Amino acid sequence: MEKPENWRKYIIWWNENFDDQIGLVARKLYSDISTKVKYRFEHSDEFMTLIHQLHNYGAEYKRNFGYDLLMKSPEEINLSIKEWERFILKVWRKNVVQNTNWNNENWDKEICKPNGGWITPSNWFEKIHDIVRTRIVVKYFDGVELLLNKMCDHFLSHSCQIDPDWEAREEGYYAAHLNVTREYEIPIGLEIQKRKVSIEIQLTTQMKDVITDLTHKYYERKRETLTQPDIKWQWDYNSDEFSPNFIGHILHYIEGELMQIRNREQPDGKK
Amino acid sequence: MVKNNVLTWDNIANYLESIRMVSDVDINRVREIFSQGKVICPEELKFIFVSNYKESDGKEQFKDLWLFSDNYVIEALNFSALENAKLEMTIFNKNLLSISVEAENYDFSRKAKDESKLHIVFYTLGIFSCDQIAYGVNCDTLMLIFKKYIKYNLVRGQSSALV
Repeated sequence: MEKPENWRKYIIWWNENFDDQIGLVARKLYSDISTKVKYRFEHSDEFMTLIHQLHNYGAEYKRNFGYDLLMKSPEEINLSIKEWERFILKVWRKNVVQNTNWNNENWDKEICKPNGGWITPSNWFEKIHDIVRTRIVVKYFDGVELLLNKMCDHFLSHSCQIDPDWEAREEGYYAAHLNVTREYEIPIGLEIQKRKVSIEIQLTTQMKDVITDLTHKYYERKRETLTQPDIKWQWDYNSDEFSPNFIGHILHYIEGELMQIRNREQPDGKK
Repeated sequence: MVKNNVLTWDNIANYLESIRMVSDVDINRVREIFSQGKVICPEELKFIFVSNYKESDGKEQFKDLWLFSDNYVIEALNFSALENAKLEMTIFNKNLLSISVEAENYDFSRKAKDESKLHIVFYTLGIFSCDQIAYGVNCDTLMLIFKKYIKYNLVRGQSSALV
């Protein structure tokens, strides 16, 4: 069995091989759940009080270090829903592209399932954590850790399930991700089913935010292809990845160096 | 519900009261969709339905909204949760491929009870599908819509994307 070469072919392939179909019903459910999760989270105590708390964290940071913590006013933080096509693309990548158990010659649904099992319309809300997401941009490197810790405490105090993660990818992407999970009740037919769904809060710095935005379209295109280049991008200076990826790493290093300079200038040597 | 055969805001306000919609935010959103629907639909609007369900803590939720004319249906999915309502319209007259009806605690020959539930899905010959739920007295409205607008519009045709 050949791997379906893009997400569109993946839908056809999936529907030919699995009972849990990807079609109109799954798409409507995706829209219903993502809309509900976004709305509920935006109007939740934990989110509304977080906006207030971000002002406090910012004031505390300024008092301690003399710099602004955030790049934007907390009120400007918006949640967004991953588009259906982007979502299916991600499912295809996890089930097919990154599936190391796939075997073209000896394909079997059970043997070739990805580690952690197939992502299906019945479980993808539990397995994909950025259906609803937001990004908070801080000015300096140390703001990421500080904010991540504060936000973990904040969400725990609201009885949320949290899962913080430090992202440091080979492609030069650095950020902290915080998944905040809650149970939501969704009408499915006559039943009201409970589904655990996560919101992803990305924490990054101003410089990383700039490079992420600049390279976003390129990565979106790259993610749509199944074929991998023959030469590693690190050795192909003509490749599209070479500059943006290394800029990502270099920026991370420079931001770390900037922190050292900044801390040396602190009157009491705060680090 | 409909006076002079045309849907008015008074009709809608009475209906919303009957299904216990009390939030001004929700009511204003319905009013906004109704105004937009009147412009979008090529015919006079005749009927409205707002889907509702009850969560385990007893809290009532309103989800999608339908507006019907004689030949068209306008659907605003998740109308109260979206920042801007999105209206989708299709022709349903002699354009339905399949229908599914599912009920709980609901005798179709009697009035709905507080614990009644009704779930109706229909697929058009294109890629449009409508999937609606109702509970309590709202089941009667959904059943009325089914009898008036849905059940006579099934036709023979080719399946498209039904899953």
